[in-house]
Amino acid sequence: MKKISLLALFLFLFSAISFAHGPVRGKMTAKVAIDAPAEEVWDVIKNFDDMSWHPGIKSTDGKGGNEKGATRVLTLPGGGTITEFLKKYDDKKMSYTYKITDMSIVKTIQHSGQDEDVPVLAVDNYQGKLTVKKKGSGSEVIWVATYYRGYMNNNPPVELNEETADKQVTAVLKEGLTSLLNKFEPAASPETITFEMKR
Amino acid sequence: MLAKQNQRQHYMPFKYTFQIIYVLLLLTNSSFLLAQPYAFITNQLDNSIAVVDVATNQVIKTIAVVGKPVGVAVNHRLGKVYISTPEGDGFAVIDAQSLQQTNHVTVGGASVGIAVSPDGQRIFVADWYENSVSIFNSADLELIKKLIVGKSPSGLVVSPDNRWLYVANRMDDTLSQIDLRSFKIRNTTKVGAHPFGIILDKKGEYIYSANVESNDVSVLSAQNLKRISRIKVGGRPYALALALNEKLLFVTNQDDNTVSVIDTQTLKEISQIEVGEKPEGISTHSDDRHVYIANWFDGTVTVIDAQTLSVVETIETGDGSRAFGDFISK
Repeated sequence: MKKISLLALFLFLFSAISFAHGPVRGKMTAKVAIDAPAEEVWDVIKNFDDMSWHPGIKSTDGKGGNEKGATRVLTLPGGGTITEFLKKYDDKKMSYTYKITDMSIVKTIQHSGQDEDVPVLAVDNYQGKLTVKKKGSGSEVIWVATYYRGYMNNNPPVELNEETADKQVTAVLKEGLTSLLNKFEPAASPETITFEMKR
Repeated sequence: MLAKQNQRQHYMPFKYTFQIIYVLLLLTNSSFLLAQPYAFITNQLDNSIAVVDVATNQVIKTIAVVGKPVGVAVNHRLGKVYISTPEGDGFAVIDAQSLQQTNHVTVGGASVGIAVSPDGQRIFVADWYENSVSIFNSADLELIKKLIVGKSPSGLVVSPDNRWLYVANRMDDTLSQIDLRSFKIRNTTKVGAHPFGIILDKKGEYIYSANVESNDVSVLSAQNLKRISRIKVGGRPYALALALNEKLLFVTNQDDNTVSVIDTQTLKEISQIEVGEKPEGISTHSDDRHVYIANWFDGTVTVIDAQTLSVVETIETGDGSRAFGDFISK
């Protein structure tokens, strides 16, 4: 009897571990309320080829303006690059959707006997959406990011696991939204930004 | 007050007559249980099922189902709905009339693809990691057989005569045809890269697969899995549905927020319709005209009119709407 329950426990633990290791697409939603008219906030972030409002981006090289299919290459302070593609743009709804199509490699690590490239943002299949909504006399900015962890097989290395991906994406969203918030409310604390992660 | 009571007494016999008819109908025709057609939408990130009344396109109920629900299979004969839960160790059974979860069946591994034979007798569950398909008896939910198939089996469909099971083996880039009498694989054929959703026509003549990594749809003869054609569609196609007497085939393109429309006569893409972000599960209403698409990123369902090829409705369903499988009751 004891043997059976031990076996059951072992099987349960083993199965729980193997689930945790499968890559699953996650959805991160960051929100911040800003005491400024939605149109004014949208004005700052609405140009796909201008990410100068985000302190984590050194320069933006855009092609195609705000038309669907436009691209931009974001250069980070460290020299790394992220190439993005504009999937959807709606000026009326004050919203645009984009995806990452290419990233520069930070380093190559050895994992499970193979070379694994670690990109500048440790994610796979990343899609983002930025929206500004009217909220009373002010506005709310919603930044949604969906992505898989960087490693698409089972048993990821630390550099490419979910925790690393979530930490890096949170940092990008937080830095951008804090800067945007402080443009309108210089004294406001980034603590008012909320993050929700679902996976 | 008195007049009202008299009136009520007057109508009493009629009330019972209707109840008797109702019970008789229930006894004679079990599909009457599903008189109300619903769409069962799995909200993977919310651990719930949104039940959409497809007559009004309103969510009438949200049922909690643990384990990150993904796949759906309606048993049109028994009035049950099976929901695969990749992180919930098997599948949940929902009663399509009471809209309550009645059972949970343990399968092991990570269940994704799920299907029911047209006669309603067998349930098929694909296991993503264990490379198997488990077959259950729908009457008692007991395991009949566990078949070893190709790598990462996903989409499943059973022939109209209940004889053949078709499986998309995603990581092998193949489709397999399995004999449900001998439980032996009869044919395995290479298709495009990473086939996920598959669909079979009502006569069991043609089978179509959505190939995620090669951005196309494979068309094969269902009899012997002979390849007929490959049709280019949008980015990362996920699943398919037939409508208008099978004249049109609709394919969700996850990466392009569109649905490709294919003419099944010419086997050409004739249109792309913009839907929500990350469109995934797709099923056709019993009117054979309206096509329902679950949009994972937006947490919505888009309804397309197959006659006009336009979007007629967008319904808020829940976070991570996936609905992979046959999700509309008849």
